[in-house]
Formats: sequence, C-alpha cells, structure tokens
Amino acid sequence: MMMKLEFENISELRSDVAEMLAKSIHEWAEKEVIPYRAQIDDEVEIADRALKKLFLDIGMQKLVVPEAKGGAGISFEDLPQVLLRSFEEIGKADAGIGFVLSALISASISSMGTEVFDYLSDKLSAGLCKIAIFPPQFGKSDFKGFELAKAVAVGDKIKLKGFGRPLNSGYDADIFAVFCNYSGISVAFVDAENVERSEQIKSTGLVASKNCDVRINAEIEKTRILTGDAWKKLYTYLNLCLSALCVGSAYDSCRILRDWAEKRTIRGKPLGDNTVDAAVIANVIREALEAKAVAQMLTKIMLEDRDDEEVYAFSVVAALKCSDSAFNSADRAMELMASQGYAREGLLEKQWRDAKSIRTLLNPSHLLLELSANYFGSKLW
Amino acid sequence: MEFARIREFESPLERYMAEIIRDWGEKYVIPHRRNFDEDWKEHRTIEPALEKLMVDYGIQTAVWPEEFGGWGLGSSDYFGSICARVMEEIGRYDTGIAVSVGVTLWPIFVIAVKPHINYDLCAEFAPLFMRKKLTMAANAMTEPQGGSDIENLDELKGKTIRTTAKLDGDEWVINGHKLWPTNSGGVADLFGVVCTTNPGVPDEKNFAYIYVPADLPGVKQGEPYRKAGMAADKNSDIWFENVRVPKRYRAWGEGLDAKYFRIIISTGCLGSAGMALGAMENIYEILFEKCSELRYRGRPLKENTAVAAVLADIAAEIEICRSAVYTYARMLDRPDYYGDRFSAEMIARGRALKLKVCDACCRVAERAMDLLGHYGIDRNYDVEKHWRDVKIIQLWMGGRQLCQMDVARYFYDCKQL
Repeated sequence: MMMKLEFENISELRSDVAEMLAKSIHEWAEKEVIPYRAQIDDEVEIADRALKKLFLDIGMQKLVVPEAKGGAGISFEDLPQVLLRSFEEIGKADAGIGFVLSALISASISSMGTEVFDYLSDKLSAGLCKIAIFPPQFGKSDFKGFELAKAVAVGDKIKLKGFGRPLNSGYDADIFAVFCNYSGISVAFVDAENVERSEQIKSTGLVASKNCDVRINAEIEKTRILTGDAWKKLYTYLNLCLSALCVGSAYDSCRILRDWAEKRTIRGKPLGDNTVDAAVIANVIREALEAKAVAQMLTKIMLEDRDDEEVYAFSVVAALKCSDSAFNSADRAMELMASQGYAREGLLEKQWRDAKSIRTLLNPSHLLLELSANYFGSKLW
Repeated sequence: MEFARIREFESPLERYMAEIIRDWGEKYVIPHRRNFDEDWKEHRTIEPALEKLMVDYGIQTAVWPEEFGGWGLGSSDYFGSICARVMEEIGRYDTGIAVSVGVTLWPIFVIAVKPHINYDLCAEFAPLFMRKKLTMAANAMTEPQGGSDIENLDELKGKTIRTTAKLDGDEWVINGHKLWPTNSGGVADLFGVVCTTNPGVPDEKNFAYIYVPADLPGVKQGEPYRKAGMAADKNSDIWFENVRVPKRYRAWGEGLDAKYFRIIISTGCLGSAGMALGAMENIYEILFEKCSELRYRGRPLKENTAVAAVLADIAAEIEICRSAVYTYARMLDRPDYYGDRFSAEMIARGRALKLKVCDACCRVAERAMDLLGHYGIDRNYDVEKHWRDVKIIQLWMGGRQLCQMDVARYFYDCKQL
C-alpha cells in the first residue's frame, strides 16, 4: 500500500485556529495560485492578485493586529503553531508570496508591546501593506562583519542613512524595517517616502518579492525604533516562517515527483521499482521529513519558556536545515525527472529556483559562523 | 590565474581556436548574455552570435574532411582535445551556445571521424555546411516513453525505441515522435535520427541511425519548450510521419550503426564536461572580482578565512576537473593507445568524467551563489545563470543514474544492471 505524502504535525502542535487557517490557505492556493503557477514568473499580476487575497481577504497581513483594529489578534501562545501550518501551506503554492509575508509577520511580531506596534497595526489595518527588511549589508565590520545603517540622534528624532539591498520587496514595500546602529543594534521603521529606489533587479526566483537597491535618508521619531533584542525576535520569527515555508516547498517537490514517477517506466519497469531510482526518491522524501521534524522542533521550542538567545540560535539551525532540505528535495527530484524537471511547465523548476533563492538569502556561510559564536563562544567579530 | 593545462597536450590549432573564441565571446556574447533568458524563443540576440561563430569563424565546417571543404577535425590526432577546448571556451561565455554548437557537430561524428568516415554521406551532406549560411544539426534520440532508455544501449540494445524505419524499395520510411533534441524547434537543417527496424526486439542489428533533412515532407517540429536555463539551446517535439529518405542515408548499416553511434556517447560526455568546465572558470572569474570588491569584517570578502576556504574548494574543483577533462580528451585523441572511441571502456571513462565534472560544476555554482548572498541570486551577477544552465548539463544524456550504471557496469564487471 502506498503511504500518503502528508504527515501531520505532532498532536501538541495542532490547534483549531491553525487548522482553520491552513484550510483557508489551501483553498486560496487551489483557486488563486495552482492553476496559474506556470505563468507566475511572466505575468506579475498573478502573484500580485494572489498576494493581495492572502494578505487581505484571508487576513494574513493582520494576523497579530488586535481585534479592535480589525485583525485576528493571535496571541504569542498560539502564534508558533499557526505560523507553522500556515507557511507550510503557502510553501506548497508559492514560496515568493510566503517570503514577502514572512518579512511582514516577523517585523510586526518583533514590535508587539511597543509603540512601533501601534504604528504598524494602523498601517496593516489600512490596506495592502508590504514590509521590507533592510538587513546589515556587506561592508565594514560594525555588526558581526556586516555594516548597519547609520543612526544619529538629533533632538527627539533620529537621522538614518544607509544604502544596500533589502532582503525582500525593496521595490514596492510601504515600510522598511532597517537594521541600524542606534543604541546597539536596533530596527527602525521607515516609511517608503523616505527611501530612494533603484530599478527593479531580476532575480533567480521568488518573483513576488520585487527587490532593488535602496538609499535610505530619513528622519524618524524615536518611537519608531526597536532597541535591545528586538532584532533577534524578528529573526527568530522570520526563521520559523521560512522553515515552515521550506517544509511546504519540499513536500510539493515530493508530490510533483510522485505524480510524474507513477506514470514512468524505465528499463521496462515502473520507475520506482528500479533500485537506483528508488534510492533517489527515498532521499527526496527524507529531506522533506527531516525539514518537517526540525520545523516542528523549532515551533515547540518557541512555545516553551526558554532563553531568547537559545531559541534564536536554534531558529538559525532550523532555517538553514529546512532551506537545505527544500533545495535538495527539488534538486534531487529534478535529477530523476531530467527534462520534465527543468522544463518550466513542469512546476518543479520553480520550486527549485525559489528554494535556492531562500537558501542563498539566508547567507549560510555567515550564519554558520554565527552559530560557532553562539555555541562555542568563538570571538569572531 | 590559469588552471592546470598541460602544454604538451595542446595543439597549435587548439590554442588558436581558444583565442578566436575568446574574442568572439567578448564581442558577441557578453554584451547580450544577461538578456538571453528573455530571448529563449526568438533568438534575436543569440542567433547572430551563433552565426558569427559557425559561419564567419567556420566552426560548422570543422569536422568534415578536407576534401569536402572542411577542416578535417575528424582525422586529427587532436580530435578530442580540440573538441574539449572549443566546448570549454564557448562554455565560459554561454553553455547554451556551447551545446548548440556541439550538437551540430555531433551527428556528423558518426560519419566523418576516423576510422569510420562514410565518404558518400560526407559528399551528400558536407555541402550543406559549407554554405555561408548558419547551418545546424540535431541528434533526434529521446522519445516520450523512455527517457534515457534509448542511450542505454549496452543494457537494452535498442529494445525500447519506438521510432521505426521500414525499407520500402530504395527508401527508408520513418515514423515516430522524438522529444527534446538540442537544435529542434526549427533550428536544425539536418537530423540524425535514432530508429529501430524491428520494434521491441533487443538486437543492435535493428538499431538504425538515419540522416533526415529537416525540410522533408512529414517532418514536423513543435514550439520550443521553456526551461530553467540554456536559452540558446532550443528544444521541441519532432514528429516523423511517413518521412521518406534514400536508403543510403542510413549511417552504416546493421550492427555498425549501433557501434559507431557510441562515439556520440563518448564525445557527448567529453563535450558536456568541457562546457561545464568553462562555466566553472567563468564563475571563478566572477567570484575573483566580486569577492575582492565586497567587504566583510572590514576587509575584502576573499580575505576572510571562512570565505577563502570555500574559494579554495572551488579553485580545487576546477583545477582537478580541467586535468581530468584533458586527460580524457587526449585518450580520445589516440585510439591507437587507448582503444576505439566507441568502445565500452572509453564510454565508461567518459561517463565517469561527465558524472564527476557535472557534479562538481553544480556544486561550484551553488556555493558561489551562497557566498555572494543576495547578489548570488541577482541576474546581473551572472553566477545564477550558470547555476541554472549547468544543472541541465548534469541531467542530459541519461543524467546521473545512467552515468552511474555505465561506470559500475565497466569498472565492477556488473552483468545484471
């Protein structure tokens, strides 16, 4: 008997809210994404329309916005499992849309309990909104080897200057969450009017995330800045969202491979009955299951009373592992599917490009050094 | 910096060709390369680059014997080395163009490479390639039902081929459906078509390699497919419906077609490895520049030990791969020392080379992208284009699995794979 590909999350991570939302996202994917997926790269309006429906009609943009402001008001206690299920479903449909949403959700969660959250809640309630994360850039060595935007206090205001490439959505974001050097490492929230943008860059994948280089030259209220460990919280939630997104992507690669392999004969036998091919199929599935296990573990750890630093460090591991797995699943599935895998109409190659994009954007070489610093106290920067 | 090149292996012609290809690449490819992806269907910028190389520089005439106006590469003692060098140098600029060029020469190898030169067929088809007009060829091999089964000659002996060739008087009548040949989609003027004269029977005598001009009645080509990369390589369906060609268009005849067809496997592996090597070298050049420019921890990226370690791994892969490619090329140069180019031994060595070099190339491209962070996925940095392109090289010609089986069969004397 053939096993089903879906593998439910462990019982303690299941919740009615998470399942209800996942069902809505699944329906959204079936209606708004799957029928058009082969055209998404060429017809930008498809991703725009699907993103808008997900953000506004399903309400993912307002997931943490208080109910009084029209949001879902999901609490910290429910968030991790809701994010896990939601992003798994989004990852099966379009990783690019999920990537844009990951930035928005992690930036808004990192501000909860501060004045920035009030500002963001108003923005997120007012209509479609995208938040671009402007991370530390290649440059000098202000922040663990990277360069932070410059922040200088002038009276009640803070002057911000920076140049570089956001993680996502630089070309059409409404708000920029800018990593800057104010009172340590802080995250400043800047309206797009204060940002000069270059032409949109062409990227390998994640087409829903329209990016470009930006020049930030802004003066903001001090209430628009998050200090302390807020940046770690932002990255922790970003890593959870991306991990779950990658789980969904890996499962979709498995599904695409299975649907193709069922009809395929090689050397006179069904493809899966040839041991050399079965071994590859097994590795594709293994990658997806490993990603799922790690993403669930991160979710569970985030629900426990743990040290923030520890959770942050584990989230880095999870994001690295899950993005590796999503890429490896697609890459190895492509190995068997060959031309049917790298043909654009076959859908696998989109997962392949998107998964590689996420993995590259996570900057694995740097994150591994950071892990060494976290776990062994290496004095690296 | 130059990676290992054994000067004693290098022919004067090879060095000269490398120079002209670099000149061509800088003038006709680099200015347009970042727009090739958008040009996948029309080839408005790709075709002029191909035309320059094939017609003006004469590459389309290279393999044909000198008496028919060609360069006589098929009779050269540097046949393998020159093929490898041409693929390496073109691959440095664009592996899609490299395969398009390589596959034009490919079907000709069966009839124009020493010791199997079919002078009658050379006389028939060489003039097509001597015209001052872009002339391309294609190898119509893969079929819808079986993927790499067609190339898996040693095991299946042509059993799964469904494209049929029936003799009717002095003509072959060909019927069948092929998928994915490079230079299909309206590009090729001549096809080398893999057929069977007795469907379902595993016997190499039934394997027929027949030349079919693309403009004959009954040859129908579909629209090109869109792929992850390799925009310069057009692929489509081809249908042969009661296509009639003279009996003499069969390359050699019973048994010999299958025997000499195998040169397509050994040279295909060499060409694939050569162009993958060229792509790796270009990635190295890009990394050299960008890792000197981008700064991390107060110094150029390349001056950080963790980054330098990855850069070193990449350089080591290229250094070793180049040595391997030219070792195999030299072995193909000298069948008097190393055996026929179509022998099981040379095919196994070729499969091993393709397996190893293509894996290395994919790994190099992946790691280069990771090093460059968000510039790695930026199409203006070119690395990601190579990454999309070289994955396709790894997967064609039966992909990793068929390479593995051929290698295991030879090196471990497996009888039941």
